[in-house]
Amino acid sequence: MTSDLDADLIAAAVRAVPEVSGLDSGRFGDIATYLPGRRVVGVRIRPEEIAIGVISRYPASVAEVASAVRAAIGRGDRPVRVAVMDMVLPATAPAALGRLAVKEEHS
Amino acid sequence: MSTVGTRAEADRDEQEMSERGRTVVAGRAVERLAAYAVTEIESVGGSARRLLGVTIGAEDQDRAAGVQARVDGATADLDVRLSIAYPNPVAVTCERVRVHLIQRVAELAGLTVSRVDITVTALHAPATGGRLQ
Repeated sequence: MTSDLDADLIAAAVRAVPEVSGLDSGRFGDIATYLPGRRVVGVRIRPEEIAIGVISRYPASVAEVASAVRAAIGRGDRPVRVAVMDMVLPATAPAALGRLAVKEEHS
Repeated sequence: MSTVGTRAEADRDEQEMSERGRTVVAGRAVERLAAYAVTEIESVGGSARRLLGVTIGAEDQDRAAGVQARVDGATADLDVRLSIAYPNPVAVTCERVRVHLIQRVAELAGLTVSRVDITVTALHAPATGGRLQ
């Protein structure tokens, strides 16, 4: 039946998207699916909507991430809400605030 | 195609609403991308972190700029703290940062930036290319 959606499968499909670095449960931790004994973070399935929380990779735009995630889920029967909660920067990015910058520069 | 009444609540701005669902961007994601985009401008560096008014660490070119973002629907306000390499004109450099941020946030996050407040926390020495550790 179409009403039986597997949160684990959706999570795996979204994680496989190259623009996605990981899943995130959202600011209030509410984007998650509770299964017996565990929680699938970043996927929430409701009859009217599927919500996905992701951490994107830097040069990908939010629009690209959203459409790639929707394509990966590949279900047209209900809207897919995509929330980009955070972004992973390339390794060459300056150190984050409060951390020491250890940078090698060629002379 | 019509979105068959997906939620009548009009309180949330419908940014990038399509028949396939809406897309939202968190402030933290905008902060990260803006902090990175700032460093794409030459002669602009980061800002030392301040905790209760006390400066921690150095104002440095190698550091990420401090950005706070407030996302409201399809628009964002940015609050940026950065440092500028010494002989560069502050006003001109800030304007370049502003233009660049508005453009980057629009193309990468799909948000319209309504305001960019910039605090220049220091004028750092020009990058000397190499530092003894």
